[in-house]
Amino acid sequence: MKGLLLKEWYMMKKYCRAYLFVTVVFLAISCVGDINWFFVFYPCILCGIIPINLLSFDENSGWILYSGTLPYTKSQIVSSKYLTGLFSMFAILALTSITLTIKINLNDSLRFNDLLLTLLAMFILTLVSSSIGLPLMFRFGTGKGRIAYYVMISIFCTGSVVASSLFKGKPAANELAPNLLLCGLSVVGIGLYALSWYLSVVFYKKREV
Amino acid sequence: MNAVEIKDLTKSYPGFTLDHLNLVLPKGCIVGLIGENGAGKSTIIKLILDIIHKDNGSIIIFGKDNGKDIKTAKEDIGVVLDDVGIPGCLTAKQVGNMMKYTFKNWDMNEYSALLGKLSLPDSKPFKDFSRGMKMKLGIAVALSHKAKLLLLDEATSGLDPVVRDEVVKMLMDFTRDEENTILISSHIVSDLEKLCDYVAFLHKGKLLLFEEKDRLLEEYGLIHCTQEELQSLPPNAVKYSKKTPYGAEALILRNAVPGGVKISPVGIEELFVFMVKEAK
Repeated sequence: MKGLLLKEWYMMKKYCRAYLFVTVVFLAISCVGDINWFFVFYPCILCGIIPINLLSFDENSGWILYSGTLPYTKSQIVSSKYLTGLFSMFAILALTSITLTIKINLNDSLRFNDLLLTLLAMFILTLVSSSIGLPLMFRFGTGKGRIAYYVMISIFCTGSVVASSLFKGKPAANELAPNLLLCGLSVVGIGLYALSWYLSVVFYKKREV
Repeated sequence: MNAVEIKDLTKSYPGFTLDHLNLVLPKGCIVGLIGENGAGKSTIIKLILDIIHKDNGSIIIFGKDNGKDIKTAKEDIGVVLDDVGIPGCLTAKQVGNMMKYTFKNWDMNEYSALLGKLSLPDSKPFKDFSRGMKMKLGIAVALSHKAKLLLLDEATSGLDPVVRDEVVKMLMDFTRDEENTILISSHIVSDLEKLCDYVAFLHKGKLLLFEEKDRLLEEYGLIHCTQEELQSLPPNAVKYSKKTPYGAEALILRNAVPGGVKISPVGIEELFVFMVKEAK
């Protein structure tokens, strides 16, 4: 497993430098003036795509087949992608924490609670995007999987917009504290990530390369 | 004990069936798997490694069923695939670092020595390697973890003659240890003719023949004669014949042909072509 993670690290260093650059630039922009949440949240969407992109590179290089010749189980191969996703998410969250802490110190309109809520929201968003994407890639391969991923993300986003418009202004929605809601959703996100890992293992074991 | 025993192995895809294959790889031997493109050579290697699932049959590697603990078995297997499969951004040094954490018996000194011997740069990305260099790196990896079985899938195709000769030498060195075995698939029969102790002919998923190479060459011969001379031979002596502009050419069993007939030696490639035509 250590060997697989090392390989992912080498690949991230080579192929994901642009993501780090975009993240730093976007977070720097979000520090200036009034906070723009798009610049804060966009890096975590990129982060959710990292393991999916690494899987694409694996498929193009023939690694998918070659890894099957090495002493790794299919569960370990899948797990290495999920762990890489988690490591990159925590790296982005750490960078965001530093940026928003600087922002809090520069501008007293932003509170420490806002930082926690933002990190929780980013955590959920990253987990959900990876959770949807990876099983589709392991099931269909990266070509068809990517199309399926965009379809699923579109359904998820549309569903979220419809749900929020349905609950908007309803007393039950107003009673929900955002902290509590995001904590609950984080637990759901973690569960979804675990379920996604399980499905990916099942799909990958069945897939013949 | 045999290195690999394959019994009644069956695998079907739309338009292709590997049909009840029986094959034994004796320890210390080099077995050449010869077949045209799509004959099922890569499928057999994938099945041995449990990368794809068999429909029926059994595969025993070093006495153990490959479906039970293939992860442990793979510690003793070195594999070189046609495309190698190492990610393009990795350098030979990074590949070594990665394999150090992959194989329990990884020998970094051996790996470094092989990189030097094969003149492979350790800091150039894999994608910038020539085809020959890629293959050599694949072979260096396969030979650096004290593997007892090498599975080589078209590992010599696309290599220039000098590199091919180097590779062939390395493989011969590998089997100097009687515990070590090689299964090599190729459609470049000349390489296999140099290397192999046994040859297996595969055609459309069926094993046409599995025999010791030297015995095959002793057993079979070629004759060039007239149609009349061909007709006069005992029917059980002629395995396959074809008309030529000068008469006929026939693959014959040497010991079934009466004395006095001039028999030429037959090469593995000719033998394979004759047998495939006979199977058609």
